[in-house]
Amino acid sequence: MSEGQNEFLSEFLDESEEHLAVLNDKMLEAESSIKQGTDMSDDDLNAMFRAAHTIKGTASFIGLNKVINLMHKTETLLQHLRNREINLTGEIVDVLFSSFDSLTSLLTSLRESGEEAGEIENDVAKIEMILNQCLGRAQDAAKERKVAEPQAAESQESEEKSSEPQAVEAPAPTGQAQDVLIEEPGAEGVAPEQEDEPRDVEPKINNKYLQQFLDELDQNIADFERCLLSLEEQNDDKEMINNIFRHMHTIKGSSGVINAQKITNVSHKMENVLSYLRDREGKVDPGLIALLFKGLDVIGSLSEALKTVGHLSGVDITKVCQELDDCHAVLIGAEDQNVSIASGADGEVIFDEEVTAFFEGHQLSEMEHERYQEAFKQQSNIYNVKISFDDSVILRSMKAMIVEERLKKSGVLIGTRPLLEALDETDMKVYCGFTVATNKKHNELETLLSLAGVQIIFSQTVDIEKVKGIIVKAEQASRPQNKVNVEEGVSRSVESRKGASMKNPVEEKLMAASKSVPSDISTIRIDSRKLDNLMNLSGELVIIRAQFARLVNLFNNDVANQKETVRIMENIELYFDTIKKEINDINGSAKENEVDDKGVSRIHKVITEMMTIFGDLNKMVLNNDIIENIHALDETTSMLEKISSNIQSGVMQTRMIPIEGVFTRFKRIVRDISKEINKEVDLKIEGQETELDKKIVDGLGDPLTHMIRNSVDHGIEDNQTRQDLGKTRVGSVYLKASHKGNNICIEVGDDGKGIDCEKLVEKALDKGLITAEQVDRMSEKDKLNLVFMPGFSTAEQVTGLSGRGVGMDVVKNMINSVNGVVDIETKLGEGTNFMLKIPLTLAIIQALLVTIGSEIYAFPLETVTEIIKVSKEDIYSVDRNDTVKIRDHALSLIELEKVIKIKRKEEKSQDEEKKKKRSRKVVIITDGESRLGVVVDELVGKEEIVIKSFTEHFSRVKGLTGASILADGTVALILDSATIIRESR
Amino acid sequence: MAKRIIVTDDAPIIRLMLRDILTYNGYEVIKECNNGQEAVEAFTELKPDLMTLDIVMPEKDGIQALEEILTDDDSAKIVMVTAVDQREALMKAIRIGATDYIVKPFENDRVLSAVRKALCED
Repeated sequence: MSEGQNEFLSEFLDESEEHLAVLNDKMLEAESSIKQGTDMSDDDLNAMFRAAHTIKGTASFIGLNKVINLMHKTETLLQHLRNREINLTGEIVDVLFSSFDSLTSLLTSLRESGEEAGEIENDVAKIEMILNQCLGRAQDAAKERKVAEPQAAESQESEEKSSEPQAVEAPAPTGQAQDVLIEEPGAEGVAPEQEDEPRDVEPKINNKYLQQFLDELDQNIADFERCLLSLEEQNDDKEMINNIFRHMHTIKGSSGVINAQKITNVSHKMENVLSYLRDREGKVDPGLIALLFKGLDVIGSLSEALKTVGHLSGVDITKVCQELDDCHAVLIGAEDQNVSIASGADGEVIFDEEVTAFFEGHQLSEMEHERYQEAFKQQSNIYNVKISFDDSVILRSMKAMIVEERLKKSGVLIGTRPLLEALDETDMKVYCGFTVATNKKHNELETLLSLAGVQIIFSQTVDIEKVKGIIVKAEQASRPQNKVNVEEGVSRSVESRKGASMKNPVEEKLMAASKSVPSDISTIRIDSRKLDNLMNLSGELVIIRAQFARLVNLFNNDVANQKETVRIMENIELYFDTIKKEINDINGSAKENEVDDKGVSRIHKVITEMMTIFGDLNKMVLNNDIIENIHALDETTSMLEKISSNIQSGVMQTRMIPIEGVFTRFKRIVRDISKEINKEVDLKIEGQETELDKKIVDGLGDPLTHMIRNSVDHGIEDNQTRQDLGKTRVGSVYLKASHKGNNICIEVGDDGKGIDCEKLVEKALDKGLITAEQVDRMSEKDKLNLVFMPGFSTAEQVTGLSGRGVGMDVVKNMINSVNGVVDIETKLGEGTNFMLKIPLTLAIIQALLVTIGSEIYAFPLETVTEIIKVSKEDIYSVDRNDTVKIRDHALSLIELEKVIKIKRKEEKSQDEEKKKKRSRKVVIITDGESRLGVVVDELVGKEEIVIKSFTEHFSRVKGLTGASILADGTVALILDSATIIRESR
Repeated sequence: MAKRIIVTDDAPIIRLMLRDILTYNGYEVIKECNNGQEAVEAFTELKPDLMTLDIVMPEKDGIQALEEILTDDDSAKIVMVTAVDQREALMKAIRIGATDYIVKPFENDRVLSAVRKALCED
């Protein structure tokens, strides 16, 4: 499967699953309306019909034949239900459900292996049978409708067709039934012609435009004939050849659009011949004209066939096609026929090296050289742009040419690699590179290049110095050499393409095999409001950035002011010096009892000047709003904090999807189980709009299925017993989801008989899972938790639904793997309630940070039940395990290094010895079932941490789930409590 | 406001299909032209946001029409509608300045993505 289809497949699967949910959901409603004796609403039937129709339609693009076939039948049945031609019965509901199930397994196998594995014949036959039964009476009416083509139907159904179709009145429960249906004249009512629905003929004729096409076709045929006749009379009339060509071209184009492939084929071949005639001078050979008439006649009969029988399978075109081909070959000469097309393994990209070398400035032509030099001179921006093409693109060279033209418009196109023609000569994925000198900015350039079918892999500024260096070096070599280089480059790339296609066949197969497995692209649909919110937040972030920039400016001013103030102060100091000096002088002269008037007036002058400076200083101080600025900084920072935490939660939100998708399917599951064991059960769903991390939602399906099955199968008593006990006759199973702080709480409960702990103990003893000795030490809770032990089952009778001893341990493991815990509450005679407490997201957790040795470790807070301090004396040894008694319960203690092999430094261990003598800090962790005390050195505190998962190398380290980087940059390892508890045993 | 588009093709069925696809997806097809001459006149008169232009047409072919339209308005958005073997003509159209092209027979998505990109809506 090609990459493009792959991409499409995953979307198809996502969408189809949604449609499938609709089908199941509406069918359940339909079923309950049958029970209540009411009719199903048109809206619901329409919705189901549309869902099946859409799945079929989409599947046809990918060529998923089984899905198409199954959905076609389903759709037909739904169509009749919708038109009230068939009444919905319990039997039909079951058949439809069964076909939905087959579709489910097809989709599952497609998702897992990319293959359409699964059996549909049974369902198809069943639907056919129903159609046959219910519509037998309507056959006469159907006869009046447009006659469906038996042959077309034959080819369509050949897969399931039996070799000897027989006319049987009664429907047989095998694939033969449908043959009878289809081959019998008048059975068309089964698949009536629909205006808006393509028929199942290969290729499908697009009915919607058929009539219009036929009308035009007749006109074109008539025109063509007229022109051809006139050409026969005057066989060098260029204008006439042109007209003829145009008519044939139109026929070809329109027939392609309605998928009348045979017409397209013939007209294409005629056009080939005509286009040769049009482009050459000279007379048209009478033999050629005869051939063109012949071709036209064939098109005429094809048109006739379409009108009368609605398909083209009865008309043979091979002969005329061959003749036209031969004629064309003779015309253009045999040598042009051998155009070899290189093709290679899927997914390989060619021309990459060539493009890269070109971007680095190697192998430039003389012209490219000059353009580079000119660009250096002009000091324009130089960008390298690398593009690839969508698989759907026809004529890649043309797309590349459009890119070239747009780049030329924006500046000077320095060069392109590879030669554009080369792009069309291969089916492999190709890169194409351009270098352009322009004054445009980077983002302007990207906008300019937005083009359907073209992906811009990157566009980046050229490192001018580097390229210059290479170019100058090349310049020193002889110039003609450059030109040769270009050619060499091209021919080399051709070589490498050839090389690729001549690879060892085994190797190629292996490569193909490794590529055929659909890559697990996990996509997620995000409510656009969430993205809008993020956009808004990032907008605010930009504003904050601007505010910071402004603040920086203000502070810069403040600093300048500060400097100015200092300068003024220095000036003032100078003035003081002057005054001091003057006063000294005056004092000196005063001794001589002579008051120096001049001295006094000088002082006066200095003081006046100082006054002015003080004024300046005052102004400066008044202007200095440093305190205000600090306030602003404070405010802006707190806004930044708010926005960044909003962005964080916004990004987290993008991973959140409503749990609805998982919950809805249980309606169906409960229905099936209750039907199978003949026990009426009511499923109540609450809180399905609750959102949680997609990864968790994906993993919840199986555990919840186990639990629901358990509840219906074991929890709820049968209807009679319930009545006898004075309970409501119909038992309830409920499924609830709700937010509890940073967690999601999912509850699966029932109002059944509850779990008898003593029975659990008995069973566990029976199976040898526990010893009698252990029982004495068990609390009620411990006993209840026995259900989580692997291999435990209390069902007295193993049913097909549950009770095989798998189930609750699987549930527990799954929940633990997402850092969640499972809890049970039960009351004999009143019911049981399982509670799953799951963190909102896997990315961020609340953690308890501790130090052990020199490292910081994080316990997910969910798994920590309490923290205690025990003194050395309270620790005693049981079976060589340290144990401590808390509230009359024994608790094992463990040093972490026993599980995760931490090495303590030698000197440290001496300190530790000292510490050990005094009290020790113990973190008690739980996996929901058992508890364990982990001895730690120091407690650091509670913190919200972001989980970074390990790379491959460390992913298998036991007891650790990941690491986190703390605010100060240290790395903390995150402990996996469940594993630690398991390993400690 | 819905973007205004003129559809040009000498085959009414192609026009019909294009109109269906475009209208269904929220564009307004303001006129259908039968040939190049009509296309040039309609473009000058109506100034659409985008025009689709068949290449092989009577009266005046798509290439000529394109050239005339672009001479008058070099920012005109013209998407050529062409058969796969019209390579030479298409190349000419692109060198003249066609915005993009669609190859017949087309799928709805191809038409839409070409039109959307040409109108810078993506």
